[in-house]
Amino acid sequence: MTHALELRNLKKSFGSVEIIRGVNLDLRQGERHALIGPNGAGKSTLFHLISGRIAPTSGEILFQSQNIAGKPPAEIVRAGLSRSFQITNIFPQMSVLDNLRCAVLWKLGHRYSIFRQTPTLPDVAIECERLLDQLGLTRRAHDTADSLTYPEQRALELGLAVASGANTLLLDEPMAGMNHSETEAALQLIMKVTEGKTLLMVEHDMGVIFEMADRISVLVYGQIIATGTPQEIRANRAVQEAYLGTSEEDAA
Amino acid sequence: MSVSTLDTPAPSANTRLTAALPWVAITATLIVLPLLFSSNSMISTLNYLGTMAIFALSYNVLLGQTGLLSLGHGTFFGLGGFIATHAILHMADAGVSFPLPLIPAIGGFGALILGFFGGWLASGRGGMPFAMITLGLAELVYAAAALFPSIYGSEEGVSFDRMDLGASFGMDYGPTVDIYVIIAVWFLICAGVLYYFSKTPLGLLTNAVRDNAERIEFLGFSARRVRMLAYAIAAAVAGVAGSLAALNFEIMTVNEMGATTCMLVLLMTYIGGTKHFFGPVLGAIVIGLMKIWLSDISPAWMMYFGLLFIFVVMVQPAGLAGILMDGIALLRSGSVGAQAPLLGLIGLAGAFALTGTIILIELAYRAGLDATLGPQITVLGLPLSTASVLSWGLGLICAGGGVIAMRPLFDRLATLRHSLSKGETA
Ligand SMILES: Nc1ncnc2c1ncn2[C@@H]1O[C@H](COP(=O)(O)OP(=O)(O)OP(=O)(O)O)[C@@H](O)[C@H]1O
Ligand SMILES: [Mg+2]
Repeated sequence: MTHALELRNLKKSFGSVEIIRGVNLDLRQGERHALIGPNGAGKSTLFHLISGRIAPTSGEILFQSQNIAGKPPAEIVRAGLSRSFQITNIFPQMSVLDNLRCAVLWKLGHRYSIFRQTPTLPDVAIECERLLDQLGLTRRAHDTADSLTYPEQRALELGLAVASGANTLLLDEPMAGMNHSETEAALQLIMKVTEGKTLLMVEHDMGVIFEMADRISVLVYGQIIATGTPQEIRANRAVQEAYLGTSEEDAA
Repeated sequence: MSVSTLDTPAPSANTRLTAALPWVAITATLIVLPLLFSSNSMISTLNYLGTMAIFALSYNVLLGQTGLLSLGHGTFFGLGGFIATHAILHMADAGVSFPLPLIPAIGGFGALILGFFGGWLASGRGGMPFAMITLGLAELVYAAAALFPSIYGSEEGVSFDRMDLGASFGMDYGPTVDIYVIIAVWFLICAGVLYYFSKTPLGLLTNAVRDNAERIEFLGFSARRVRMLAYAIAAAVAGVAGSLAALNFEIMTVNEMGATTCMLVLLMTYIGGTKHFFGPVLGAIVIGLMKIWLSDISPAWMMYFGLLFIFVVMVQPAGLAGILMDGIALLRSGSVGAQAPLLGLIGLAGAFALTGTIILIELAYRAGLDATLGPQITVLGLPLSTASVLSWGLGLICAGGGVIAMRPLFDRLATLRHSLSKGETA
């Protein structure tokens, strides 16, 4: 079995506080994997470690059998692993189209080019048009990103992660703060744009998770306490005690 | 807020035409200007404004485009100028024939190389660390220059004769207007190159670094690399501007790369407007003229600089170009007639405030620094005296009344501007 991503005894301390306390996790090629856990469990911190935003204190992060622990974010994206952020992290004063252009420049090989004008690059135009259409932002292409509505901004956030062409995606609460119908639309969008890719996604909405995930891992207090199919996780006593029971009551 | 020329949608034949329009207008203006203002001193002034316009455009690559506050951009203006100066001196010595109009290419190339080095040092982070490192580098170069009087000259600088390289392109470079031709052509080249640059992938990435430097790292790019490249390009164009200044004055002094130059380019660019491509040119013209003319007629010219700066920061952060754009938006909306009373009142209040301020500043200068010239002074045609309570009172009432009347008017103006910008996007 090939693993897209493997975490080996990963640890991270801030000062004397250990936030990630020896995480082991395998991500299978092409699976949709949900990461759940209570607030402050360390889910975002784990994403920061994998994506290179912060360096782990110890442990290994094997991406396609290469240890990427401590590598800078740009190198990790180029290797094929990209991410979105829990707190919207886009280019606010630039147009939606320019946001996406930035995201596709590297994979199309234009990099830091100064010899062509971006609007005249046919491959960039085609790719951005496709993305705008997928994200439902075509109508907003020339508006600045900060003028978008919240769900539109989240769609753009997702778009930036997808546009970089990575085959493995980490999505940190892509639907946080959305209402029910917006969540449903966002879920459809995520299913569409991540087709054929390996996906690790943090999400609190149990309905969403049981609908989309092939497997679920539960992170509590910096450790993975269970990994399995939705059925297995639902039946897992430790998970129910630590997390799920309360959350399902909340949701209901 | 629209970023106008920096943000045009995909080109079609029609938009190409409108995109070419400003360039045609600028070229025409550059051709007509020396015919209108043909006296030697006027041409000399135009030359100065042209070099400053190029310099300010280069600075906006950092300030407006990449969001980087450099406090040491004058260094590259100066270094470019010295490289050009020594290139001329050496080639004249060796009897090499080299066309004078191409000298700025040497100054620009030298500044580009030095810019890569400086950028490599300064661009690890943006914001405060960047500003501090550029300031440090500028001070370092300035102080180091004193150690090499053979290169940088001593107090009086390094001078040369621009005719030493001989005639080329049908000009012998004696008359000031020959230099005007060189500066005008270089202005078109630099503005064209920088405008093109703003549209390239790297140009787009500089905007991305300005907006959110961290995020581009997660898109595969190095923010540091982008800053460094922007820094080097800005340095190169500043080097061209410095070379042109050297050609114009036939002398280069260490002062040209001191703190004053670094501040001047920041003021020009910010006052002109960083959000519009040609904003810095506007700033260079206004500040340049103020510097030349005001310093002739008033000892307090630095004070007016400061006041203008504060005024722009408070009234329209998008600078003079932003004010101009507001005006155009108002004209387009066709509501000039309806707004005429408001604009008239603002003009009136502004005139009062300005008059009062000028009276007070001139009186204060005469009473303080220039007291030996006696109490009698003519300000704006008014015979005033520093000994007269009436004079001071007049200044105070005008300034105070104007400023107080201005406040509610500006609130109305802000509402108007808001509704105009909404009308535009709808
Ligand atoms: N840079 C930091 N320095 C110190 N403590 C930190 C830092 N970043 C995160 N933490 C702490 O680590 C813990 C885990 O934070 P993290 O953001 O990873 O949680 P999370 O699981 O994503 O929570 P949520 O569901 O609220 O997003 C929190 O207690 C937080 O206060
Ligand atoms: Mg989180």
